[in-house]
Amino acid sequence: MPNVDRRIIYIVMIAAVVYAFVNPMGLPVTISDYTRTAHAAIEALPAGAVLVLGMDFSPGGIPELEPAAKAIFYQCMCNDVKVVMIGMWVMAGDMGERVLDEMAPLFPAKVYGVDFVNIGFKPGNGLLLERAADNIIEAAVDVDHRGLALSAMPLFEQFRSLREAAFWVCLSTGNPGVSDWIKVIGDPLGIPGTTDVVSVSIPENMPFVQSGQLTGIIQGMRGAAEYELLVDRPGRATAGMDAQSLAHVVILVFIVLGNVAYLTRKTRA
Amino acid sequence: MGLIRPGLVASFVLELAFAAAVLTLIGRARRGQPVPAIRRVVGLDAIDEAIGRATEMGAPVHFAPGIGAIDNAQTLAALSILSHVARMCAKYDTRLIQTNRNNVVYSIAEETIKQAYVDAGKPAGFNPDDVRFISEDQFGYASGCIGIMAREKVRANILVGAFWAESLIFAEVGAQVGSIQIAGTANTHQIPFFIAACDYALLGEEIYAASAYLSREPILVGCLIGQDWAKMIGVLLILAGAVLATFGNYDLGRLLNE
Amino acid sequence: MRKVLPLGITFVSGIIVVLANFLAPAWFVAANREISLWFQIVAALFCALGVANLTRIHSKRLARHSEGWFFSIVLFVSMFGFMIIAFSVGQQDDLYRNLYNNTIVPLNATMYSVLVFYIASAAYRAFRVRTLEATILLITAAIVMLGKAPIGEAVFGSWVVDATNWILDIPNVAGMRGIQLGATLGGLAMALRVLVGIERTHFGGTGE
Repeated sequence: MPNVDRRIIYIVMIAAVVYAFVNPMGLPVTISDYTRTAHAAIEALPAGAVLVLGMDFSPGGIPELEPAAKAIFYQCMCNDVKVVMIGMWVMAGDMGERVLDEMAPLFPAKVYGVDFVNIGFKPGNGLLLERAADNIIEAAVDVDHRGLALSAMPLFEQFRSLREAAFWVCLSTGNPGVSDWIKVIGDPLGIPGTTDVVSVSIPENMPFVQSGQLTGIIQGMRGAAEYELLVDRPGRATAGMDAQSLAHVVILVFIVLGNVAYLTRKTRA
Repeated sequence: MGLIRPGLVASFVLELAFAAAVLTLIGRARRGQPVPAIRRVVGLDAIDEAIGRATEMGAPVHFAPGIGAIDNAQTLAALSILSHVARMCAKYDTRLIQTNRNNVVYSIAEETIKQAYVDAGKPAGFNPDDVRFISEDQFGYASGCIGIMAREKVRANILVGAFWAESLIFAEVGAQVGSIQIAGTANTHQIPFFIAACDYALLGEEIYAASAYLSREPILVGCLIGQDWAKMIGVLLILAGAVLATFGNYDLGRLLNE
Repeated sequence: MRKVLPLGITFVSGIIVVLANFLAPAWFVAANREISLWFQIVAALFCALGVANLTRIHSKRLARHSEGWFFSIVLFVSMFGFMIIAFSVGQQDDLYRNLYNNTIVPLNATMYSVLVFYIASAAYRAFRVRTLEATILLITAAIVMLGKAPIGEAVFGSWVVDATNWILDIPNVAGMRGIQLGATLGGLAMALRVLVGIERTHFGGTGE
């Protein structure tokens, strides 16, 4: 059996993914303990508490992280938990607006500047978090992503710094990311938090989960799908599970074919 | 202790101990005392082979120092390898295409390569158009690089530094165009992709050993050995902590959290 | 002076940044913040250098009608067009946001999505049972791939999910901690070499 041309692999992969979206199989998604732990921690937040959402990702991370951001925002609004979005990545503000564009209209009684704010990107990486831990208005130069003054917002009358946050969630596709939140907010200030990271970053963040520095972990798109099911709002992540399943199967089939060809050639030689 | 932030005393002491270990070995090397040898790093040895292969084929070498900024230690390690690669390419009149995602790194890389050609006695051989800033955007940089790899038909692809999601894109396209590939990063989430798609992979701290390994300067080698001493201290602490914790004693852990 | 001044600046600013992570006095922390802010300002100035480099290279391509010169025009239009729009109407204007959401976002997402194809072809090429280690790698990868997608549990049962979690919790964490410890110490050693002036590649040249 000769080596399979990579274009055949690509075509089969496209066909499998398209098929999964056109003919959903509805495979059951079991919810992991890690996702349940994260969800339970946010569910336990009292009304009026502030949850900080670190939108530390770029458009490439949208499929895996945005569904979790929406689900967490939905959960917070249902429980009257306030949400402050901030980010160390350049596109943080735009990512936040995408979440608000879809989710805010579901809560017409919730008001921007009172119940949620999108501060957006501010430069400084970990330094931004350090300054926000002292004074969030100064760290954000008193302006949010929409150009509005933070000092004029009722939310910031009570919430003056990240020290007063009840919980943080870092949605991250790389660096700066989770380690900065743990280093600046989680460990020194003792504020619990969790993360949703892209699948490739799951292994490197598991030590933080084991050491208790992260309260559970939302693992990539699978974790986002689980979270959507926990808040009873299946969305894009859940819809993507069938495609992910078939994609994995395609890869495994080609790995098996490759090894069959390899072993056959080896035996003949 | 009022001078040091609470919860960081043990870390501060350990960092001082680490610095002491490294500086001790540097001192030994400076005084001409012998320092232990370092083991072979296959990936670093392969750099010369890769450049040689590209030279034989009359094809260019491509070097990417990752997408990290200049304050990233991996980028500094990449620049030290670039210096060696540029010298080799200048010596053998092999075209070197060097791509950058970061403006500051681009300006330093340009100076590094220019100096290498001057040192090789071939200042006219340096082509500033072959040192390129592609884009600050991660995937803009990735698409620019893979376009260059494919159009210029590079035969040696050296990817060392801080890489993220674009690592597999580089490695796979390099494999498709038939390049010999040497890659290295300390970003643990990208190491598997480099192992799968490249001919040689430098894992984690091996990229930091490059300047010492390639130059064999006693001071740099001494620094590397000091780093290993510090790692041994870390291993002993881990073992001690694991044994104590197994018997229900967590005092060492508490002490290190002071 | 050409060598001593940069080394001196590197040492002083580096020591302040390192010690500011540990030391409590407010003036020290303030000095660190000031240095970090100036770093951000200098880095922003270098953006102009990048634009100048791109303009120089692609202008030459256009002038010579080199291969692919049309794409140089596309680059100029998109680069300067975006800059002009952003400076004139601002980032909150609908024009900018629509342009951004309908070009940058899908292009980024597309490039990221390309990874699924490359990972398939890389896995096909690389995961061969050549040695014992390669076989273990292959079996582990197969288990984790099946465990992370719902189809694995649906077809093979919950043991594949349990096995995946065990792999991620035990051998993965052990390996990750080891690699991260080594890489972190390597980074620390590199920083120390830069501080004391042994490592000089960041000055450009050959570091001499």
